[in-house]
Amino acid sequence: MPAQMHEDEGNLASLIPQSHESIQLSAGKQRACAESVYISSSVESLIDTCWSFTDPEPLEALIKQSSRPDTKHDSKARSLLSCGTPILQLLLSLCTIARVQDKLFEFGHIIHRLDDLILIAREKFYAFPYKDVPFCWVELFRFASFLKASVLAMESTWGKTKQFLPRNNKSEGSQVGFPGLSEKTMDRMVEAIDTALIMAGHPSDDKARVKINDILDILQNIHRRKVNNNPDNPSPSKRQRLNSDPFPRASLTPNVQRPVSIFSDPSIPALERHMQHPKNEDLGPEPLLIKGSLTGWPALTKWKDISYLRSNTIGGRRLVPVEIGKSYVDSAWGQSIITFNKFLDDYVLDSPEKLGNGMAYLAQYDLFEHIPALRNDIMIPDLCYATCSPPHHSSPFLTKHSALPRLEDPMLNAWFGPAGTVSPTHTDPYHNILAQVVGRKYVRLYAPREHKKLYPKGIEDGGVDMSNTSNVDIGLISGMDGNVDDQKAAVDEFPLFKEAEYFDVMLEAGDCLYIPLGWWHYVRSLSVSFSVSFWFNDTNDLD
Amino acid sequence: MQLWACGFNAWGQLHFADDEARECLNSDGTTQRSIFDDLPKDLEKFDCVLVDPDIEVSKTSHSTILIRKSTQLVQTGSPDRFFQYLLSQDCQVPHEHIAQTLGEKVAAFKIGTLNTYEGLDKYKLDIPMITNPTAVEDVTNVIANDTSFYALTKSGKVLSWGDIRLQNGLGREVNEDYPANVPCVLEDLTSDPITGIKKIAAGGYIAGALTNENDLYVWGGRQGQETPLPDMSGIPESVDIEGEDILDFGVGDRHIVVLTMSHRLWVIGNNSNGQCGDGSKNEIGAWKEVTLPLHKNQKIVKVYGGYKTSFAIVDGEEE
Repeated sequence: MPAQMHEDEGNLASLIPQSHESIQLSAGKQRACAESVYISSSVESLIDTCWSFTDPEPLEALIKQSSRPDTKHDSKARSLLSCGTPILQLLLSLCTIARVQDKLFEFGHIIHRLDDLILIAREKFYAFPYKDVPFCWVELFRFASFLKASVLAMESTWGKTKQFLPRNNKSEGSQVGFPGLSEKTMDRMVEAIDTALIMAGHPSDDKARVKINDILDILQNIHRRKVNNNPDNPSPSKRQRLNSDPFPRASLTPNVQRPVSIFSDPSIPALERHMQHPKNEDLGPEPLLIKGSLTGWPALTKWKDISYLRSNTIGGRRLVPVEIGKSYVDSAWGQSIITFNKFLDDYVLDSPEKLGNGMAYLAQYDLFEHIPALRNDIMIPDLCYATCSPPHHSSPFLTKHSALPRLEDPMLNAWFGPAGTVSPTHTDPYHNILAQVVGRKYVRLYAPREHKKLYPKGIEDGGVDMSNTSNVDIGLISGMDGNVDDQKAAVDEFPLFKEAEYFDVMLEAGDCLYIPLGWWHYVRSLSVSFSVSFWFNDTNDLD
Repeated sequence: MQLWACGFNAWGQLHFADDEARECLNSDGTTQRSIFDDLPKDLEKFDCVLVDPDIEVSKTSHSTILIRKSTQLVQTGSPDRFFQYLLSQDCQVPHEHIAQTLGEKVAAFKIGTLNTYEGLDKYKLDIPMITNPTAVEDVTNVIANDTSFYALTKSGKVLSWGDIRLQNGLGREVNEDYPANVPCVLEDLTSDPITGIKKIAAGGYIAGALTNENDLYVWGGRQGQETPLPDMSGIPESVDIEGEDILDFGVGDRHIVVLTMSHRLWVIGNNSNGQCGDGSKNEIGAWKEVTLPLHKNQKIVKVYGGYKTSFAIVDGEEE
């Protein structure tokens, strides 16, 4: 076994190309040489980080602890300990063998076993109710996935260098030319990491979080370098843009009947006054439309640029969770994890109906934790820091929403999809600023007191609480979807619905909508649309 | 008798006979399996792994197999906490009367009652989830899959109970009178022409029962996952393999192995780790016969399913 490398020696300074040697070379050769040095040094720092994921020491410590008869097993304990001795031992074997360069022939087998362990963790996710999955299995999913990505990188680079590479000798190591990562290896690494980040969440441990972001950053840089050096790359003017105009207006476009009031001079004190002294006490604070408040957001122009989105997702390789199907109340609805490229190409850029793919919606997902580069394109609106009014007395969720913990920072979610995505009428447990970045959306809102006329669902088979979602399909009942017969059937089924009072609004790119806590809302995209929601509920009255 | 096995072998749990040869001597004189040497490989084909006058597969988990040989219990691979407990002095119930789901709940038959526990620790402390236990007639076997438990009674009835979210696995109606978490009889397996059940087996989200009439019924599945047989549901359905009577069967995580009365072995379902033993790793979508390279006088007399493993007991003299 090679002596262990010091983790903090993996310095990023080696990313800077050492070009002084190449002065006498021709410009082209010089560039090519600098390029290969750049790639080699990026790969080296990548391998340094990957190597650290194969450290056997923490596993050895856990196995020692696990074999003690008095070991307590707490499902909330934040470590792999409760995975048990067999799994810890297998991980240790895999890490140990992965550190032996001449065991390259075993790397495929190691990856196969890591897939087996990831599957066991995944099976545990289903075997427990979501909130009860013991931490150790969530951690195993991440640990085995990050290890898999690391072994993939090590197999295709370190494992392929001709020189035997003692990992304890850095000065020699840096002279070794590392081969670049193949496209296929990059695909598989990103797939392993992203599946874990989406299924199990980001690591709770800061060190691991930084390391994973480092790996993704290096892959992003390697990809960008490759693309920039490719002369076939389209110039910015030829870049594909999200088709923001003209929209298919046809019969699909609803007319705004009872427009939401415009918040003409938005400020925190003004929003607080609006919440604390509603015009109509029976309704509580009403929704507000804020026009053109996103002017400072780079996202407003950047996110229309498809190549910008692809480029910031390692060439569209990053995975995203999407909802497939008409809407989440549809029987054929399901969730899927696909590459950003597949999502764009099969669902956003081409008419989904034409391809027979059905509808896909990247909905209610914190894309900004997942892809931090996109976080820089938006800003949290100041209004989210207003002191909020408590849930309205007419809300059926008064007790439930009052008991929710206060969010220190707003919760961010991305909503990205083609024309025709629908969020059925529902309420959320937070106040919401919905920012429309690309395209347009129709939103219809009902006050909390209207809940009976909306026929909320109940607890469904399997114990899923759907009481925050209405049984009424607004698309059908208002004639936007289906035919006259469908509409009539819906009207007959939900006779009180026609008496429900509502507000509605057409959100254009650059607009924000304030949705007060507990208000029911129906959201429908009328074009390719990208929105960001900010959930907040800070109430100072508890202080 | 011979034990033949195939499938998932990450912990070397399919290595029995020549285990001693695989151990190495440490400098301090102790023997320990070297972690370096090799990672055990899956067996994609049925292989004879143990010879003994009498063999029975008692219980299996992801990482270990518990076998009853003529004289003793043998354990392979690496036991998890539950299996360590089963083999310890503390375990007072027969292994056939206690089981653990993948969701880590434990159920046991003790003194005429069936009890369920949140986990192994609660079982050891004797704190069941429901305080008034279900009184049942004599239970001969308690088994579990990922989220459900099944008990077989002496008179040939099957009871099921478990996670309400995954009702298909229960194979019976769930309502106020027959809640998911309380052992209730599978009525579908009591009606004519079924006179009783003689064996139950379960794995993943599926389960099966073999009737006194040598018919096999299977049920279960979870949304978003393909079942080994197409169209499996919460209602037990009989299995037809060339119209033959069924001698024995086993259920794995997502595969089923069946032995017909003429001692032919059939497999169906997930084959990711070679658990179907046909030499490939391709999913098997329709019943497929797998033949073992046996001598003329040998025949398969019993089968079992493990997590991603299958077992066959072979009887008869080698020539």
